[in-house]
Amino acid sequence: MLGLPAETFWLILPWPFIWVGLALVMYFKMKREDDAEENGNS
Amino acid sequence: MSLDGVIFIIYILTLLMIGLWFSRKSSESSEQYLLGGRSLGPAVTAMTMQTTAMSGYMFMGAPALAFQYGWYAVWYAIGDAGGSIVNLSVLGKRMRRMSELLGALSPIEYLEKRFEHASVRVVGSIISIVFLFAYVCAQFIAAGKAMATLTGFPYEMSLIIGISVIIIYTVAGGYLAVAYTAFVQGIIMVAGVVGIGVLAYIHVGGLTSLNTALGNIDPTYLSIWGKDLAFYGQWGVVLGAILIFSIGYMGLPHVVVRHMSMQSTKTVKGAILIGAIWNQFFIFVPYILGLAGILLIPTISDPEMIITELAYTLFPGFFAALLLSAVMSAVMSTCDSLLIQAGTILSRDVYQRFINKNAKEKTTVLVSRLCILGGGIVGIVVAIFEPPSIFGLAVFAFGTLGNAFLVPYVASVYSKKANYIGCLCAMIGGATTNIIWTSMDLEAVTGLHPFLAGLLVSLIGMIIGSRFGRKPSQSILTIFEQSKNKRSFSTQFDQNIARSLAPEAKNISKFLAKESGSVRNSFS
Repeated sequence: MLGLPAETFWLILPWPFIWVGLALVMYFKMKREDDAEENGNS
Repeated sequence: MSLDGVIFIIYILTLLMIGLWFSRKSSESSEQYLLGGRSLGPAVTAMTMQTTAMSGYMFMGAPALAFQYGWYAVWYAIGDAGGSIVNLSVLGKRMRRMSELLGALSPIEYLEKRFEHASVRVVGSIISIVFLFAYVCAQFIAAGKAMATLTGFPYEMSLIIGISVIIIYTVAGGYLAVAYTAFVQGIIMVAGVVGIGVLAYIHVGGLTSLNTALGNIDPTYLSIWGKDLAFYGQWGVVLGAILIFSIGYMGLPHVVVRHMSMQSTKTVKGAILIGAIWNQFFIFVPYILGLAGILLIPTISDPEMIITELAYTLFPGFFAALLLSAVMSAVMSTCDSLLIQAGTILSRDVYQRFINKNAKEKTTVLVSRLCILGGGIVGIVVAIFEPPSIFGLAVFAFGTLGNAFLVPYVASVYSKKANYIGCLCAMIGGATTNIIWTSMDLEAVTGLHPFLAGLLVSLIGMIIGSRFGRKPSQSILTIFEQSKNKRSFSTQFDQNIARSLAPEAKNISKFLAKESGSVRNSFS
């Protein structure tokens, strides 16, 4: 685990992936909203 | 001339050219000068938001913190890496819509118009001017220090050269110059940090080797509770460390103004993605370099200079030159945003609101330019009398601004009940708590980070305060609903309807003109 104690590894290392995942979720959510708005489905 | 000197001069000239390029366009109107005509696309919005947020702290304070506390410091990076995602997702669309519906050009004007009371603008202007100025001074000192170390010039001379460049392009090109220079600076910052990061990674033999070596020196360097377990079990401190940079940006006037300057609400989604990717490449590396510094330069006298020391001793040449530009980019991109925001608040929220209500567009732009120039000169004079700690001052100013404005901005678009009493309580309560908590070092006694304490008081202030005083008017409630909901018509529909109605509109105008003419004739 990169030479780190388990506590440090699991509390810190996943965060970059969590943030990018959240950004992708928000991107597609907003894209769907924008498309719906553009098509007049709102 | 050495390579780093040539690269740095090219960088400075590029910034000046961008400033001059936008000078004519920016002079067209106050909206152009102060908000870039609300025309920024996703890439520029993301970069200007992030480079404004990432100050010289990232190159000096962050590695110093990791050098002192080990892996504990990365808590700050975790919050910071998600800051733009949270900020744009929570405020982005709603604040863009509402600021346009309210016709607000400055983030403080926005608060007054949303909460419908002049006192909000007075208190907001005082808090923001004082703490933006403190923040500017901290950045000026960082700029002078960095440039003096990297070029060998005296501190005062470095300060004057570096800040003069910022003042020239900001005064000339206004918000557009600030935003587009930030775009260039963002690319240089990430290239510099990633370049040095890769070289340091190879030098220490990878992350596992780094951690093993750190563990051999002191196993507590690897703990999430800090070296010597300084913060053991203090979740209030850890939570504050995460929150200050993950949600704190929503309270900084010079950052939230980026929501107001976006081209449209559709800009938000692209900006979230670009900002998130840029963050993951940029934010963690300075902390890791601070950890590498424990191994590579353990006897360094000033840990704030770890990154520059690493670059110049281990990787001289092109990367050191790139790093000089990257450090200055981080400092300058924050300085220019702070300066233009201070200028905006002084010209729009003080001069035009309370001194000359009928000021023409050209006068407002001129006053903005003079305020930026004046603020810059005063900042240089203050920075020459260097305060004891740059980063203490930067974090203090950041925390106080965040605590004063975060709750009002979020409540402005999410709470129908939020009114001016609530806003005043939140601003004054949040700022005062942070000031008291920091100056009396209550963190050590309570185990609660000053930012978290200020946030709780500000939130309580908004909830309780909004129960008193006048409720939001019907027009504000209508704007609130409009900013919450999607547009009723598509862009295509809007364009078609405008095209279809154009001949009728022309005929109606002609008819009205004719009618008013005949009425005038009948009276004459």
